[in-house]
Amino acid sequence: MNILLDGLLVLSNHWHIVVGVLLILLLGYGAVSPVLKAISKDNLTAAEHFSFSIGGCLLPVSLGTLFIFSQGVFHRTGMSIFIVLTIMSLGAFLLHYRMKKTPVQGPKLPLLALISIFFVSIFFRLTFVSKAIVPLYFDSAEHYRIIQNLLEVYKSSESIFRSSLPVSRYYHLGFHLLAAVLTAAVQGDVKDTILILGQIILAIIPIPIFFIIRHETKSDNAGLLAVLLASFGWYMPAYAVNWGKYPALTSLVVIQFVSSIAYIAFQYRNGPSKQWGLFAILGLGIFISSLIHTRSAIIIGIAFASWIAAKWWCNSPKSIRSLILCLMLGGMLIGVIFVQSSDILKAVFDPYIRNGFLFTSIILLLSPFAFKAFPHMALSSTLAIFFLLSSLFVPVVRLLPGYGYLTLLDRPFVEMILYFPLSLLGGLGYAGLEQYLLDTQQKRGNFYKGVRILANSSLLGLILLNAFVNYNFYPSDCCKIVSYDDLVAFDWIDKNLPLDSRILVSTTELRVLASNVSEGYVGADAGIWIPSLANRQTFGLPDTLDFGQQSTFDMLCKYEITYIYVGGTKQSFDDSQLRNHPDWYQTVLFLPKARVYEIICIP
Amino acid sequence: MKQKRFAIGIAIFVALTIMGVWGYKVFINANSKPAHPSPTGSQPVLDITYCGADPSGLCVVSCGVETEGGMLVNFITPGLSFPDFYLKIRWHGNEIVYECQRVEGFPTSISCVGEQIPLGETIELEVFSKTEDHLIAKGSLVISSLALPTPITVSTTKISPTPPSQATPTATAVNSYPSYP
Repeated sequence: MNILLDGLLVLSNHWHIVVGVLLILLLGYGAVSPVLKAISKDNLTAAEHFSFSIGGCLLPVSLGTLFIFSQGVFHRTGMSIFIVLTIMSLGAFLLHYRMKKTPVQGPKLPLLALISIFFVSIFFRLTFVSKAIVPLYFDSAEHYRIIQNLLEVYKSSESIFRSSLPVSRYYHLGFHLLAAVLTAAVQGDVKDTILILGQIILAIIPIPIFFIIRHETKSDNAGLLAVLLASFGWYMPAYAVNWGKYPALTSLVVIQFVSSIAYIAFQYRNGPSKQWGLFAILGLGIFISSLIHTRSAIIIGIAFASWIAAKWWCNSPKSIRSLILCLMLGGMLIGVIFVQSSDILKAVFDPYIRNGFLFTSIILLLSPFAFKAFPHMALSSTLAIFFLLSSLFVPVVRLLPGYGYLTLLDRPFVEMILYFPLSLLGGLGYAGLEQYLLDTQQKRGNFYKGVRILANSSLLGLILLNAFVNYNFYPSDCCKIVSYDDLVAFDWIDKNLPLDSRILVSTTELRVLASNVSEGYVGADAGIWIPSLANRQTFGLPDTLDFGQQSTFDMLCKYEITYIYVGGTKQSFDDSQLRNHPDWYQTVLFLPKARVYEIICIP
Repeated sequence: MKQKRFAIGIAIFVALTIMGVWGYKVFINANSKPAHPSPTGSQPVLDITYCGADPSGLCVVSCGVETEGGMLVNFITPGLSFPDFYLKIRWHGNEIVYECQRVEGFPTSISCVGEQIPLGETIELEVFSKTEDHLIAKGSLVISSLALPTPITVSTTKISPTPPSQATPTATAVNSYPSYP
């Protein structure tokens, strides 16, 4: 019952942001939908078309965002994105109107089911916002700061090309521009807009999977099963909002759209279809997804490589196909063992084995049916899992300026994206089972019809039951680094400390690579939010710093650090050391979960 | 005939878009006006308690102290429309008024500042609406979290600090807490 009340509370408090974001996405849908309809020559069912188009709705929105930010001629207002998207939708509508149309095909029930899943999912996911003070974890503080900065550029109506980028080392420009434009359009607060946009993105992510599965298998049930698996089968990808992985989550929508477009291009490769249009949208999709999150280019590359390799396998002589399959499965097993043996990487399986064993094992049981009925796509999905895990070990040294040792993908990204190939496998496996039971029914009678209906309803029922019983829609305690005490402390700092204060905050090492190499230091508690919410400069030092040492005190004085902030996480500074030296560190604000100490340096 | 349908289609599309955007903007403007319903005498007075793990209603998050010896009492309100208020604390026959302000950017979080009261004391709190001076909520609490702590000796691992030449310095210690837990 609480979940319903919390959902309603968020809707009543932030309805204008929810409606505004949905309206913008709807206009994006309106712009991309007629184009896709024209390209697919109306060969899709209503549900397929909805699923395909909703995956592409971010393309016109992102293009509109880029256009608005790049031009410095017109004065920008909150309405700018609405105007640009309306013009785009109108253009697309005119294009489609001039073409020969056929009536919408297929039953309407799957479309209704998809729309229901989408809106119900939005409602339940919004409950997350009711318990989040600010977007979670340290990444979010950085997103907030950059979006706030871009919002000022937006308000100045100056071209982004004439402005300096918010930070030198950063690669999520597409997401930050999008969030800044949405914030301006809905006239909302940056933190609320990020939180709500994130939850709406989570509701969109599973929908495009329906298109690929339905188009490949011609089974609406299989498509819906894949959508439900991606929505509520595992706690990923939704859990990534706890990590503030908003750009990565947003890129997932576009990655899936790019996969759908590439799939359609492959399907229509021999027909007189609008190939140039498909490739133009494909290129645009790759560009936009890379702009939103650079590493999505690698995911798209992996999907492409998997598809090609699977195609090659399908065309190979039967004798060597089994051998290659065995080699691949063996390689995958070795990969799993390697990942499990690494302390840093083994968490990659947590959502799928430790906590999501039920659905992963169902998919494993269904996979023989997937390989039998849809070998190309089933193998592509399996290869994608193998390549994703392998990418954790492929070093990339000095490819990006400012970065040292990296791997193709890091653990959190792989952990959050494994749901995609697994959901595809689940959908294919289910469709394979359905086909098998249908064939058996035709051969052996109506008993198998009952088995088919039972399999169908029990699988869908199991996922829904899991969603209502086990699924956690609320923020995880793991990643809440800001408490209400911190908010009061920020307000107090803003009103009471000198503007030129230099505040020391706690940091911790970021370790997400197989090599266990530290990628640098990141904020460890709410102190990371001080520049954004209290407008004071901060400096980071490791949370293990010993404040009892004379050398520490001398160093802080030497670098003119004037205050120390101690938040309420496990990785905050140990303030018992500060309290033991009242001659060096004086308490100026004391709250149970937030303290500020002044450093008493002798000039 | 075809041209007529085309024109009607365009007109409907444009009208719907304009109505949608206009309606949305109207609602935004309506929503941006502050709504502070004033409680009347007939409305029940709310109970003030410490906030639990899942705060609901008007509750006290924490008490604290600041530089000048003042005391902070921090509240969470049940919603954005909760009226602005001030706090009255009764303690040992004294009546102290605390000024309360919304935390900037977080309108459901409210901080009240006033005279300090020693740890462990039981206090009577009364919350009054600023606009109509009505009693909104009251309760009795023990000041438990407030403390300017006395020094405690804790044994710690000695680690050499790294000079903060940059905002994020080089590593000095390995932390066992996982990244992205």
